[in-house]
Amino acid sequence: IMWPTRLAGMLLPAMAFLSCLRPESWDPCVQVVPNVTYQCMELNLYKIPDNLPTSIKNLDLSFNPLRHLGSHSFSNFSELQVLDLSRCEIQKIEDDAYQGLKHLSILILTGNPIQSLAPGAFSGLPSLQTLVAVETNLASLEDFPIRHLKTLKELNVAHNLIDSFKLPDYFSNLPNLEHLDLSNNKIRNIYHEDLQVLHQMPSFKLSLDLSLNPLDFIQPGAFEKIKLHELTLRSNFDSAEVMKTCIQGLAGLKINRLILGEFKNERTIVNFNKSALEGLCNLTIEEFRIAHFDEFPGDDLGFLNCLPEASTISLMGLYLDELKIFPKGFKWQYLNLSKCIFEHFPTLELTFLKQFVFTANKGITTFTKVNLPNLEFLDLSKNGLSYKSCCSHRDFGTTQLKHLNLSFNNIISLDFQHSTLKQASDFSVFLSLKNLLYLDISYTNTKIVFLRIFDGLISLQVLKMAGNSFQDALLPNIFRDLTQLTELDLSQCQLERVSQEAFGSLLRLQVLNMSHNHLLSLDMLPFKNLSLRVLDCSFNRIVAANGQELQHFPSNVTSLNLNQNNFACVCEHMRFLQWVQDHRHILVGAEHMMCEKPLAMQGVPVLSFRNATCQMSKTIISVSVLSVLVVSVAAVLVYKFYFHLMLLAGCKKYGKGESTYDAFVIYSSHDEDWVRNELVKNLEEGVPPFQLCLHYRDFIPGVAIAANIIQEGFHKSRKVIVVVSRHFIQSRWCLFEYEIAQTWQFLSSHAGIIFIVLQKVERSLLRQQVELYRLLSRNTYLEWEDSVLGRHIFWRRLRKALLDGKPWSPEGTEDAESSQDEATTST
Amino acid sequence: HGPMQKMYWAADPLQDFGFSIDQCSEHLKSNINIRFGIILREDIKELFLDASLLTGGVPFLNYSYPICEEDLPKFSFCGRRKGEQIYYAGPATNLGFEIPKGEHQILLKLYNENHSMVACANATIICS
Repeated sequence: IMWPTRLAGMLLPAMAFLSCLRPESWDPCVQVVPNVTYQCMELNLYKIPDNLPTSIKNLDLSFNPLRHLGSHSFSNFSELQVLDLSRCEIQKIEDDAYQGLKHLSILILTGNPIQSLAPGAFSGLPSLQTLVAVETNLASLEDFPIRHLKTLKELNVAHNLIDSFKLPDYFSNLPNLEHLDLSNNKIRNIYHEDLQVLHQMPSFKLSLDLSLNPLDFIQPGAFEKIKLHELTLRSNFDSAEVMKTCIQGLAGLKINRLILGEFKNERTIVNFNKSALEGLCNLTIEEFRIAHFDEFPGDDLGFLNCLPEASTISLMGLYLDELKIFPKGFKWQYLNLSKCIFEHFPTLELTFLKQFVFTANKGITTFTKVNLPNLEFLDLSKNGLSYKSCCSHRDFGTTQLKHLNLSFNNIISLDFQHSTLKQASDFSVFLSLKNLLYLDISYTNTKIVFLRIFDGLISLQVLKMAGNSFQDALLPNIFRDLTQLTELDLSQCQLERVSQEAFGSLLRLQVLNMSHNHLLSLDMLPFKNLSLRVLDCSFNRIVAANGQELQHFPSNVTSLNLNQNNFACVCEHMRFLQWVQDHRHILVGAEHMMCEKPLAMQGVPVLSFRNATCQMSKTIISVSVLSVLVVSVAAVLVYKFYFHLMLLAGCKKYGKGESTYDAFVIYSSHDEDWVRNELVKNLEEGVPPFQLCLHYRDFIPGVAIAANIIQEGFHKSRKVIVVVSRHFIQSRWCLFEYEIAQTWQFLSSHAGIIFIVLQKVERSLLRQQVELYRLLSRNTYLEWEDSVLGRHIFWRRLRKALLDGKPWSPEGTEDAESSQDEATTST
Repeated sequence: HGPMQKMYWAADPLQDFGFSIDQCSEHLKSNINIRFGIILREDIKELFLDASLLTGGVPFLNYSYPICEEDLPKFSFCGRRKGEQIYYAGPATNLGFEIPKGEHQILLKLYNENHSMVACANATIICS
């Protein structure tokens, strides 16, 4: 009765707790990071939601029709760091709209049609670093009320209506400003006074993007003595003449990076001419990049002569058919030529060049040698270049190379031997080299761990990888894709074992070098089904090969080298040693193959091992095994038939002599009364008297029962009387005597067994003695009947049977018969 | 007008998205002019196009192309910001194959460096 109430007591607080946690509480916003980041984009919110936690740091309110930001709009969220108000249809921002956002670092106002921006609109933002006011109807930087944002680093006012490049005086209040994006505005002219503030702030490192402004004119000297970090001018000019004057207007500028170019989808100069870039000679440029000039005069790269001191040159997306006159001896350290169209591979002789990126170019098909003695980084990817061979130091004129990218080319031969390849076994490094025919990574300190290292090399014909190593000293199947491979060098790879599937894909393999490894046995299974012609397994630790596997040795092999191994010339490896003898015609230096074991055979040629010694010992073993077998079988037989043998011996001894007894009586001791009172009485005392052999009377004491049975009983008796009864069948001695009796009957032809069935024996009991049963059902036997007539007949028949073979004495016989008759009558 | 018709609709109901191809002939010229307008819901510092061409629901061509790369991008709309409107009228590189006769579906997906969908469209081309 107690426990339901207790349960309710536990459940209620739990439910109350859970109800606090239910996600709808921030409805409709999505909680991205609890208490930190909330996403309220495009939820048709007309006001800033008030159910968000005050600890929120990142808030995305974009695409909501907020329309108007009043003062202290975000006072609830004093921890805000990032506020996204993109496309919120904001037309009016009042004074102090963001007041209290002490930690706000990024404010995004993209796509708002701002018409009214109060002078104090951005007040109270002491940490703001990035202000994005892209596409906000901004017409002038001068009126933009940001003069107090001292922490500002990036101001993005692209895609607006600004028509003057006048950098406002308040920039001098913004010492941290690094990026000013003025791209996609309406600036046409740049005058000297526009840059006045930069003269006042010589420490500025401003990156300026003026792309997509329809520049017409830059006043000469406007940039004189100005330092900029970066200036981007892409798709600014309508004609080469305008470009020329504007570039000349940059004279005197000291700049870290100048980016010139066009966009594919914007205004392009129709008749570009080489004079357009002449003015570059008047600038001090560290890094010069030029990109996507549609109609670039490929025949004249004269402007590059203005840049001998630059460290980095990047030409991207140009049509350059003549690069033969590429400048020589400049101080360039980084050169990037990509996405260009070339007629010839550039002839480069740049002593200082460290990094050369030449990617995704079109038009050329062959690589020509370059002379770049200090080159460390080379990227030649995605050019579809054909290399007949790569990469000797002669190809690049450098011995300093540390990074080489040759992806997506048409390389036929790659040779990296004795280089140090880093991370070569971390992924399928050769994946894109599907046309490669020759690969040499010998002695490159590569430890093969990644099984798919050679994936993609579907055309490879020759692979040399000597002097590397494998995980666990086991050669796994790393050659899955190399179905065209004909030659493989795996020497000096510290291999101890070879997996059975290792060469499973190399159906064309002809030459395999596995010399100078640590192989312990010559496993044939890996070579199964190969069309190998040459196999070198010399200088290993091979003891022998498995005799069962020898049949898998490829039949095409014409040269097999097994020299300098640890062969064991013992009979155990007889099949292998015989195989060696049989294959001596393909073995290289077969006569120099020496035995290592056993000690007695050390230094003896393997070929001199004679299998005959093994054959002889084999015969001896088999003969001795056979004789032991025969002896033991004989012993078993003798043991089993000992008495029968005794009988046999006795037969010979006594065979010819007279019998002492007329009959030996076999009976159970339970039937002794009957034997004494009836049998003995009737036969021994009757006429003629028969001499019976009875164990209790005639057996000689001191002699074993079995010996007595045989010597006294059988040997000295003419006949055997078997008194069959229930007890007889159950007695082991009786059955033994009966068994001997049978043998005795078999041995001496004159002998006979007379059966007397004393009492009716149950047939089931009799059946247990199958032989006896069979005999009784086949032979005539006497049956003891305890009636006058029965007795008479019984004794007559028995006497008659006993008389058979008894030396004849007619008078005695007749007496006996008559007296018997009398006796019978009297009873 | 002409033997080829194209119909399109935005796969994303929230997108403000417009697209048209000026030229309509059986054999597309190497440079076709397209017009394309969108209000961005994502920044596109990088922009990638995935196009699949299907016939009877079975795709027979998949095409992936980087439109905007971070370093000196080709097009002026590259690097534009979330919330900004872009409008492109100009040439589009032809895919370089002939469209076989019949009715085909085109699946276009534009996504940015974070794999956020920028725009997607289903179009049907009937080529007779």
